Amino acid sequence: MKKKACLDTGIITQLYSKEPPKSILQFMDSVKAGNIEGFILSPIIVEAFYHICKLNGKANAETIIATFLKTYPIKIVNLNQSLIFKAGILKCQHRAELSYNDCYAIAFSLNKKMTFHTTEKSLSKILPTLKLKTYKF
Amino acid sequence: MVLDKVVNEKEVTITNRGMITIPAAFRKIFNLKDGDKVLIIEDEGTLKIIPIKDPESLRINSYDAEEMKEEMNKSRKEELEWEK
Repeated sequence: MKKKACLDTGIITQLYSKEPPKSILQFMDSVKAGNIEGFILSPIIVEAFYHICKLNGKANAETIIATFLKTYPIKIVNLNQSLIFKAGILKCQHRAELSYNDCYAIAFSLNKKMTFHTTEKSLSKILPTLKLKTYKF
Repeated sequence: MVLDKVVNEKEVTITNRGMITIPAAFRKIFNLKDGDKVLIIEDEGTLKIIPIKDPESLRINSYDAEEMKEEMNKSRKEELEWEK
């Protein structure tokens, strides 16, 4: 069975930095080749756009996000009732540790039992049951 | 006032097959070549054309990985501070 992965904001923003970490490039190559099925929550893309826009301007953010979505066969996930409830509970339980976007993506990863690929180091301590791949660089 | 040196508008015609030509001046400015793809999106009642580039060319003038990491950490900290 094909591996499934849920992507966090840092994967996109690091992928288009001047010198992207090799581990992220390799992971995204696997997604592109279809060896890993990639998913991303729509608010995560908004967050990536915001951070790129802040550092590189609106036109670059538009081009980077458009290129990312065209290049990789990633499924965009929208919020539904089960995700809203699961993410809401996570925010209640960890309000000062998890951002809203963390909660959406983690809720989806837990519901679908898939690995959450992130650059955020603190998550493993907060949620020991979550399948995590943390990219350190 | 000299306007001809600044290319910021150009009228084009839609063909009977719905095609338009991106004027050469814009193709030059945005480095658009034969076979390149663009994304057309709706934006507040207008249409916007966004070039799709190869990732390597996007990285040339991009931000530093470390700079982005710091920016995201700062932003996350600010968001979580609200809940304390």
